[in-house]
Amino acid sequence: MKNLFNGLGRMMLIVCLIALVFSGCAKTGTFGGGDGKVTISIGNYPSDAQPKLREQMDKLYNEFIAKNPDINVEKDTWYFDLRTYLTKAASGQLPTLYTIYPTELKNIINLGYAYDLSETLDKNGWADMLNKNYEKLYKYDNKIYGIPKRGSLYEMGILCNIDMFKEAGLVDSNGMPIYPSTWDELANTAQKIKEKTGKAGLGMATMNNHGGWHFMNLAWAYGTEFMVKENDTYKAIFASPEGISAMQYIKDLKWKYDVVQSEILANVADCGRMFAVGDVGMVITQPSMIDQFVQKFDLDVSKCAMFRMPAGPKGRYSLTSAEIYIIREDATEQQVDAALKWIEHIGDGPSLTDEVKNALEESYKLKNSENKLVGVRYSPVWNSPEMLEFEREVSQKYATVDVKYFEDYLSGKDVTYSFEPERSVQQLYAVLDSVIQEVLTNKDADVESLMKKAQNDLQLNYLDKEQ
Amino acid sequence: MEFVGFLNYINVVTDTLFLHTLWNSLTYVLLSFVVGFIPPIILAILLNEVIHWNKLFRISSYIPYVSPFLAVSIIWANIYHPSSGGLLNMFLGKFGIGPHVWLLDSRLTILLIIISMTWNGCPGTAIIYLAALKSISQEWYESATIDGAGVWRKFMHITLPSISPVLLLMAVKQVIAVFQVMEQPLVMTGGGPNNASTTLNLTIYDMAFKYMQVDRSLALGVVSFLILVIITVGYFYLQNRIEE
Repeated sequence: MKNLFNGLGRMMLIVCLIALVFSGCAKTGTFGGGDGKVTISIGNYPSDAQPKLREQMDKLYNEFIAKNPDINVEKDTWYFDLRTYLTKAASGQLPTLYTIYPTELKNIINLGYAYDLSETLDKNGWADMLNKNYEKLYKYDNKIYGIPKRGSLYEMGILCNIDMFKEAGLVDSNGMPIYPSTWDELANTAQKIKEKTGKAGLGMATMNNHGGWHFMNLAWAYGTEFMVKENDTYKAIFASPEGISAMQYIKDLKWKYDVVQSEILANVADCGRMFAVGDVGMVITQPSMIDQFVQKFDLDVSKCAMFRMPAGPKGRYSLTSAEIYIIREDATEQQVDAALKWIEHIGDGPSLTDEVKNALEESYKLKNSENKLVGVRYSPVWNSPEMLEFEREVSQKYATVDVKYFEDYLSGKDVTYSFEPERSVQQLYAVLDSVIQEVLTNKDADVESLMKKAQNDLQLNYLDKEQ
Repeated sequence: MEFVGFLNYINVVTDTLFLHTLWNSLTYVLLSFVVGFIPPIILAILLNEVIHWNKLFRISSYIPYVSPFLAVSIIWANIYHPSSGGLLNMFLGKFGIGPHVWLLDSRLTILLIIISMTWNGCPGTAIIYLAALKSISQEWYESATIDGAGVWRKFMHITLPSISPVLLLMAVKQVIAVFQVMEQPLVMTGGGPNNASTTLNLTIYDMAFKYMQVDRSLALGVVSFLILVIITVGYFYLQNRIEE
């Protein structure tokens, strides 16, 4: 011990400690740089693990290169993942073009990693063609930073297992599932499934922030507001009587109705797995997620039906979001133009040329061959009736499901589509996850005090410190 | 980059979950001593005493240690699965017990994670103790036997003093390793239920890779390091006092 704190050793230790302490004194900022050439790298490029998709994308890639000899495209199989994002960004290895979740847009802009596309999209006319209903997803401070990816715009609904509904006697004379129209009816439906099949009626996500994410739909239906803006500051207000009632409903699903899965600590993928193997009768999800269930868990989409979010005391509410393309902040104008050309070439832009038609048809054909969800229309990214009509035709041509089982969801009747709050969204989901876990694992949990603590945690730990 | 002084440190230590998380990390350390400190010593002694098939026993007992923690955590998560199909529930069900929710019981979560960590790490520690045991002269045991010492007295007066420097080293190593636990709760519970099993390092991970708050994550990393230094120095100080 004495030797450790003597002479040189002591000095080195002090220097190291000071360096260490100062490492925590920086506000995260911009890192990385570009090479200045008209070379772009494209994220989300299919890997060899998806040979058919890779082959299709390679074909598009070759066509693009032949058509644009002045553009060099590098393939990057990296998909947006929070666990790797900062490392990629800080080391300057982000692709020129990649997709993110809108919940992260503000953080990414503040970190200095997102290109302001407003001027470019104004010039090429894309800004006017973007579907304004979703501008909260890609706009920040009145500037456009992203472009929603085609087919990724979603509204949430409830996916149900037709066979389990039949087994539970929950079908009408035409064999159509009888959908619950309110959250209370949903609990009763889940109870019947449990009684008749012995399986959990509803798969509830509770971890990795997915519980909070799904809870939003229910809470809005109960009339909950999550935060309000007061003089440029945000105040969490979800521990209201409405929010508490919504959380009480979650608690009742376990302790009154006993309809949730025994594996309480579950994320969306776990719920998808349980649904795919017939361990739960219903899950909250969106069409774009269903394809992942098919890919990972071999879900048979032909045995699925989907209905609108049920109504609460204040009506039906559904969260809406998407994957959005963004371009790295240090891209040159030429790189931005090249990236937009790529988006257009693969069919994610607003134009509908013969090449784009061909690319779109090929993508539907491929999804059909992989038994993914085809036949259910997605919300359009672009205000283009021609594109909408073309996609509808192709989607029907390669349908893998009978659309009648998705009509209720697609009707969107009486559903109010809402966006995630503007601030500290992931942190909000995390505190809600904690409450959901507690009410589902502790019969004596006090919902009101848990919600108040969660609200307080969000306010003190994040909202107050982010103002 | 902007210099913000100690703001990030203030933010992390005033976080309403900081004390809870710190307490959890310390609970992991304490429980790891209660549950995990003795088994490697017993295993090492058993391996040292085995005469027949000793290579087989040594290799087979070492297997958990070379298994990736990720795989081990998934295996134990399945053992603790809360449904009646969980391995532990199935076993106890044969005796008419359960099923129990195991990891979902916030009173047991840390303890159960520690048991899985002990199973995983015990052989690695045991092999070091075994090396220390091998270095003890057999003549000491023979002399003690002639003097009429029993197994317990030989253990207390020969074995334990001979391996005590290694015990101290491994204890410090255990404090450092367990205080930094992250992967096991991340895989087995995600830190839940309701933060019952979250730790400082898991929070550091979440801040950096879930919330993109690298600044706070770094600050909490430094705080965690300083706490560890204090604990380790304190441990050495106590050890010196006891030896004196």
